Amino acid sequence: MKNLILIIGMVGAFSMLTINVCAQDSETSNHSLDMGIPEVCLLDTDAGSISLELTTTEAGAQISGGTGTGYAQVSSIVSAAETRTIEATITGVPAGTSLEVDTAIPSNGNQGGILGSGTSSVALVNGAGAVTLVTTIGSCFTGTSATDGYVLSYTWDAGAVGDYGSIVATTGSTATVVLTITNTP
Amino acid sequence: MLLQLLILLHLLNNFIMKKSGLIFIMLVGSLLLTTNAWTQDWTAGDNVTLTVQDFCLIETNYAPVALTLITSTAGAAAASTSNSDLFVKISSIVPGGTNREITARISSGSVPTGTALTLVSAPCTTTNSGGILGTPVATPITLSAIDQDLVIGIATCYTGTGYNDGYQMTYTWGPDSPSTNYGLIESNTYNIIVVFTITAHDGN
Repeated sequence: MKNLILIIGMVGAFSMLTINVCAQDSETSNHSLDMGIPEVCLLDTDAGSISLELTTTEAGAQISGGTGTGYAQVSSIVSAAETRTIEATITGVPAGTSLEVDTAIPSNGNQGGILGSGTSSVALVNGAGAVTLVTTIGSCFTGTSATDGYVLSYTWDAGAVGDYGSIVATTGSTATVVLTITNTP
Repeated sequence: MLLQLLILLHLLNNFIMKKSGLIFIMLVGSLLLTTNAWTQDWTAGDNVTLTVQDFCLIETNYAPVALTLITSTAGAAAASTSNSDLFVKISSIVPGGTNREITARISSGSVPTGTALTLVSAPCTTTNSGGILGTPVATPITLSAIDQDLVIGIATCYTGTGYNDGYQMTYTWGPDSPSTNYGLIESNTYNIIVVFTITAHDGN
């Protein structure tokens, strides 16, 4: 008789288990997303011309004092283990003078990412090979307003003493700096 | 009913043990008599058992979702991009006073470093739906490997089965804190799988 009670009890338990199995618990559904980040490599300047002037007010001194500032804006997305470099070439520097540039990394708060390393006192020489202004740029942006971007500080002076005699007065002489952003490697 | 049966069997057991079979038979006889006395009407019938199982089903419209981070302006960060092609359809029956939630998590792959992928649900479309369809969580969730609520308070309802029936989901993908994390972004193609779950009702 006790066995009968046990069996009935077990049947009751199985019934309750069966009910729980029938009640669906939760369900899921999968969904696939494709997400692409293409490489981006954009370089622009604020496009304003930079006016430099060499002069002196002291008798006996050589002419000096031409300084000006330009900005280069960059958007860059690189692949893994890739970096970029900004290089410059120049044409149109007046004879007997020398032009140098310091390049500072953007720091005005509108930038982000891996902005690389700047350089200082890089000589820009007519017809010379491209010189490197910024190295190890990764994925970054510099901001888009006129004073955002890498700060290019140009310094124009009389060149080597031996060339001083080749300097002639000129107005409106235009030198053109071409900036290029390249992949490394 | 089961309880009564068990008590009766217990009594039966005791009677047999005490060998008081006669008393037991009398007791059973009196019960039968009593039963007969109560059966006075002549209607006949049958027990009809109506069962509504609680259940839930979920499916998407399997819309392909492709997102691309890009910019065309020098100096600008890659802009956020959105996609609202995906609809989630459900059927749900719950016991009274209980609710379900739709949750989402990433089951395969991961969101590219330096970026964040968010997801938010619109209220269920009304054309082909009915019932208590719940309320979307207003703040977009940032998808991760852990389930987070998209729609809460779902009770007994259906959303319709058409391609554009159900809860419209909006993915938004963009740089995450670009001023500090932008350098982590790497160009590539990434595939991730998002799992939508309709939970067991909260009475479970």
